[in-house]
Amino acid sequence: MFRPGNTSIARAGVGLQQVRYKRRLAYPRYNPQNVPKPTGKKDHASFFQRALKGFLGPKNIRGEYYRNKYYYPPQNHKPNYIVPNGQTVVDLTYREAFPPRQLTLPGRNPELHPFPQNAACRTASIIPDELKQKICDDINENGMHAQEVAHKYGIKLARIEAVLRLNSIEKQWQQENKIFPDLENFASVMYKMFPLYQPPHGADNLTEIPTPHKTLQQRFLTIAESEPFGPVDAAKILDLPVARDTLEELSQVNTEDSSKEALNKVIVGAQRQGERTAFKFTSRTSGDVGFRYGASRRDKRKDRSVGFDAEGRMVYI
Amino acid sequence: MPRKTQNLNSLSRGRVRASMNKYNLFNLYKKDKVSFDRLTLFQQKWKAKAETRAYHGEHLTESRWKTLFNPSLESVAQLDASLKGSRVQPTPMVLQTYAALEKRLELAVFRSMFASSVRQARQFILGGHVSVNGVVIKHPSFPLQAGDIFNVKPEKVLLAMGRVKPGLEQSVKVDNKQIIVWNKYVKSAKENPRDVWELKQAKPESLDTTRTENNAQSIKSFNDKLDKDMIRKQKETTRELILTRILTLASKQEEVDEKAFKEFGSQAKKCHDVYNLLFDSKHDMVENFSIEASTEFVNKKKPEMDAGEKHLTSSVKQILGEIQKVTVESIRVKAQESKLPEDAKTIPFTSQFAENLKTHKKLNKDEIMENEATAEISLPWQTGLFGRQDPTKPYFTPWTPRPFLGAFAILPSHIEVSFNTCHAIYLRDPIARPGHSEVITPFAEDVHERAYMYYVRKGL
Repeated sequence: MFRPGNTSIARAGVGLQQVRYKRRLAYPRYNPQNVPKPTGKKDHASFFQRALKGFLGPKNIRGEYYRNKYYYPPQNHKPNYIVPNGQTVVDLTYREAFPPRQLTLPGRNPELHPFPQNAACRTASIIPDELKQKICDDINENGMHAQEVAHKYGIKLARIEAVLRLNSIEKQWQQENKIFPDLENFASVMYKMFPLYQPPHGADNLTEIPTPHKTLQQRFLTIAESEPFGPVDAAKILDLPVARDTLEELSQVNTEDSSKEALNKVIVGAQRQGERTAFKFTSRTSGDVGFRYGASRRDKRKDRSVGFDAEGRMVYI
Repeated sequence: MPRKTQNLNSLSRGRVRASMNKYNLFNLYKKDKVSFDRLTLFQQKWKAKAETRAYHGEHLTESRWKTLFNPSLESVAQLDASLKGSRVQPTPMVLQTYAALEKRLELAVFRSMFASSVRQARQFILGGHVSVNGVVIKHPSFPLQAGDIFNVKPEKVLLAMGRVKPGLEQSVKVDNKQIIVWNKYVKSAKENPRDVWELKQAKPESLDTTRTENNAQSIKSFNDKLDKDMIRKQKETTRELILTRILTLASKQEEVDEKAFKEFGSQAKKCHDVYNLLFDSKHDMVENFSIEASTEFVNKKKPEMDAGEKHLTSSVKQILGEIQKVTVESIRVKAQESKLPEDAKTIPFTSQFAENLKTHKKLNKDEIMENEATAEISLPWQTGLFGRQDPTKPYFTPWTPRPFLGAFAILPSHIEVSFNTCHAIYLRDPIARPGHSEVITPFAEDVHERAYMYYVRKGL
């Protein structure tokens, strides 16, 4: 007998999705011993729902998973990122144990690296309030240059300037009485959640420069076996400044005002008698302006470049 | 418009999203290392891009993302690398695959922890709660540049980073439950205080890090109380009071000897001496003692006295001074001895413990539902309705951090955040350096590598 509800398409449901490989359900990798068993015939909770319940642990009257070790934020400047060993609920039977199998990367520190599979991602450290105050005092009162302060505390110049700006906003808010108790509480909870920056440990590398694109490709050069070849020669061949000179430049305090605008050379043509137009010639780089003949010009909405005006409205350029 | 979607946090599908909710945490927790075993190259690329795109710009359609993708990856070279001598770690360049997204305002708002998910960040931006350089920007795709300062209204940030504000009915329900439990506790504490106290001491310590009252603090308050008591007692041991006490004790005895002054301990003999001196000189105070008389005796000026009185007063005062000194010292020593060490596990039982506890009246739900202001709650850990101390606020009051915040809170390296003012400065586009990538991603290099391969060939 034909029953429409029995066909495989009907069973697959409406949200049929195209799958390019055999999909496996995302079962937990840790020992599923912690997954509670169904509580009886009436319990229709799926494996995953029960696993989630086991992961979260018991709930108290106030709706907190009070025995889950990730529920409350750490407040000792030591982040508490997940270690997927199946032990999330702290109860009388709980014992801090090493993961039974190699569930995370070998070089991973759960106080620094938020994700179990990616040790290249880590949380930044927060600048302590006292250090922030010192930075502001050094610049505003002791008259030090921002770059000197950057070298003194091992913090990048951009961050020093940001700290100054944010500090002035904080001062202003305090004067205007805009920081209300809940906000203060929030700020203190967040502050105590992140590792503190304690120079020189974890200091920024101030010799960082954007990697020159020329160095990202291989270059081959034939030289004699006896011929010496060092970084200076390499720089010459790649047509780049020598690292030593760049380093020296970076460590010098640049007191010059960098806000100088580059002037574009403009030639205004003389307007002869009878001419209706005064010509103006501006030097521009070819490729930056106009369209190249024969090149495709995609002007659909998603291809058009977008800018924003002074009032924050989006405009098509 | 964000991409349409269903069941983002499906537990069986197990994708990791850019969001801070508990389902996503569980998905991240149980996430296996992405395996490429026995897959063709295209299958590997497809799987990698599917996994990474679920986290990076999940709200964008594929075609929009493809226009944003930039195949040239940004990294930095460290010029002092050769000077350090140690081996330089490889630069995880491919983790920059999704770096182009990080300059979008929505992502920056999420990364600075002003919103709990990218979709929520979009809502905040579209609602006009976010401004960049002082101008309200209503475009989630607004590209930030180095040095841009952006801020979100603090109320929205507290909403995003705090617990969910309970509805009035829910709040009353929770409070009534709390009151029932509290009243039971008070009742049993009044009946047998010592047992309840010991049970309370044996309770495992709460994991709640934000609670103001923890063991260390209660030890401190216990010790502070001892200090206060000590100072009060020391202030009370004046010569006048000692003298009055001696005379009072003596008056109770017919034959006065050292035993009468037992409560002064080692100073009993001196007390006896004082009494003897006064008794022998037949001073009025022996019969009519009072605190005023003692005060007058102790504070009397020398010129007002004759020679015999002078001698008596000075010798009595000297002995009284000695007694006072020793008593004050003994009070100090006693207080020091009863102080708790900082690492003490339990606090000694005091009889006042149960007396101070008061039961709470049950809440009238109907009355409160009509007028919220009628609710009067003063539990030791809570004033006002649960989560609704200030019902005008859109967030849980007093502000409490959202569940599992710690597992998701990652301070970005490329944004400087001020939580006090909910402002943040975008320092630069995230970059990769040896051993570190500033793009925050749960996936390892091998996954990103395949995703990059997928997009660099425009989806082939």
